This record gives sequence, C-alpha cells and structure tokens, in this order.
Amino acid sequence: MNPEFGVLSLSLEVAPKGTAAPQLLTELLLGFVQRLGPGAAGHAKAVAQLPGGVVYASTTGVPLEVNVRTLGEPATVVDRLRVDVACVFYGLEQEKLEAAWRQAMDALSAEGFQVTTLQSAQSPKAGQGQQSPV
Amino acid sequence: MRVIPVFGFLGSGKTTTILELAHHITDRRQRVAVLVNEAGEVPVDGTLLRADGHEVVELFAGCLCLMRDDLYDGLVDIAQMEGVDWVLIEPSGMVNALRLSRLLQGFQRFAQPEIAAHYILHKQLGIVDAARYSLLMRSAPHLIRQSIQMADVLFLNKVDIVDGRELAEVEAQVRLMMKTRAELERVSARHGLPLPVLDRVLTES
Repeated sequence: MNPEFGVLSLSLEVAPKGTAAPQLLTELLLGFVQRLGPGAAGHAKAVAQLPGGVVYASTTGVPLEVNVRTLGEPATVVDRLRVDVACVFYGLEQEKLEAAWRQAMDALSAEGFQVTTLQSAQSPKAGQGQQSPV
Repeated sequence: MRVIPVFGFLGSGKTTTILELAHHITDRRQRVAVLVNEAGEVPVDGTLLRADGHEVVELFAGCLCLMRDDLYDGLVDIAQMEGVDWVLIEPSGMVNALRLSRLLQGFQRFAQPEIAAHYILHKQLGIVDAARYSLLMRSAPHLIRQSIQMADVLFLNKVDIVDGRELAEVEAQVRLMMKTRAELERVSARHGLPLPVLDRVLTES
C-alpha cells in the first residue's frame, strides 16, 4: 500500500437498537471524519447489506455531510447489521487514522450501540471471523 | 469492448458517476461491466454496483496502477463474459493516473489477439471535486493534476455547492492543465448527469 495514504478497511457487526441503517451509517462516518478535522484530504465510505436491499454512505468531510444512497427496499428494523467500511486519507499517518476511528467507535459504544469488528485490514487473518471488541 | 477509466481523487465522485454511466449504457440496451479497485480488503463500492445490477470484477488491497497482472487478468475475465460492450474502470482515489493510463494503453500488446482485436481504450474520464479543489491542490497537487491532464472528458463535479465566482476561478485553473482537445462539463453527479453529457462520454470524439 502506498505509504502516503492512511487506509482503514473493516467489517463490523452492529446492533443498531432500532436505529435505521442510513442514520447509523451517517452517525458512524460523521463521528469519524469530524475527528480528522476539515483539512483531511480523503474520504470514508460504508455499505450495509440488509434483507431486501443495500444502504451506502460516503463523505469527504468537506462539506461535513454524508451522502446516503439506498438500493432496493432494505429492511428498516434488524437485530444485527453487517457494515463494511473503507476510509482512505492522503498525508495522514495511519496511527492518527486509527486513533480517530477508535474514538468514533468509543462514542458509538457510549451511546449504547454494540459494535464488533469482524475483519480489519490491519489484521485480516487474525481478525477474520472472530468476534473481538473494537 | 470499449474501456473508460474514471480518474479522480478520493471522494471526487467516481462511484456516483460510474453508476450514472452504467445506467445510461444499460438504457441503451448495451452491456456494461465495472472493474473496481477497492482501497482495502472489504468490498464497498463493488457491493453497491452489484446491488444496482451490474457485472462487477473487484481487485482488492493495492493500487491498480501497480497491479499490472491483476488489471490485465481482470480485463481478460471481462472480455470473456458474453457480449460486454463497455468496461468502466474505477481505480481507487490513490491511483497514479499516468501510470494506469500507460498500462491500459499497453493491454493490447499483452492480450491474446482475439481479445486485443476487440479492445478499445475509448476515452479517459477525469473528475475534479470543485468544492475541495483549493484544499486538494494544497494537499496532493500532483494527483489532482494527473487526473486533469489525462482526461479526454473532465467533469467539474459538485458545482451545486460552490458559489459562482469560486467555480469560475476553479474552472479557469483546471482548463490551463487540460489537454488541448479535452472537453469540460460542469456537473453535480449526485443529482444526476444530463443525458447529453452522458452521450458525449460514450460517443467518439
């Protein structure tokens, strides 16, 4: 991977406690990019596959908004949700990216969401299929 | 098969543009496949494109411009699908556009004659995020310049969230870097691309 870029690539399982997937993805990505600040050059995107459809969300952080696209008719209420995430930023140290991600996940957990990392690019083999806390 | 690589920095609007183009091609009753270079090891853009009904070949965890063999294998896989008229290539936003362009120009020399005979590098589409142009020209100017310089058609995207004066300044700067015969279109891909703009990408110059 090009060392000029910080990259996060993760699969999560989230218990959304009644929150709709578009809102959850928005909260997830906004919480992350806000911690990087407005000068960060890159983007964060996430996709959730639900029964009946797909919800996709992306943001650059500039402006501070998330674009959400829904395909099909995804179920609005689910117990657990798999979310695949890719975040790539130029000129940002990997450690900073990971620290911002951890803070965003901590904030979600503090709100009562249960988030489990299923797979991450940093440890794809060790993490794959294992349930480990974020 | 006609191939269109879509260059642009991270978050410039490549995926949204590719969805629009793919729909337009399908509406013309032609067949399209998308070759996606995911930035990491989980499918994100590919999942969206597949859910939208398109044929997708994904390449993971690496930059397409450094993955010649994988790129060529992906193109061969698509060429062997039945009746694919168009291939849209979505590199990750980390790509060196010049290097990828050279690889695509070299594919015919690599491919078997029956595949090479049907391979046409149609047009290179560049996308510039007008809303972040100044920020990105400070952060990663070489990557932005490459996307502009390689483009046969350039989309100045997100014009709906940039005020008129700033947009005019950005356009003037971008035009200075474009190829002489390249075309520029002001667009807002997330609000839909006008049919004449989509047609201009697909028709020969």
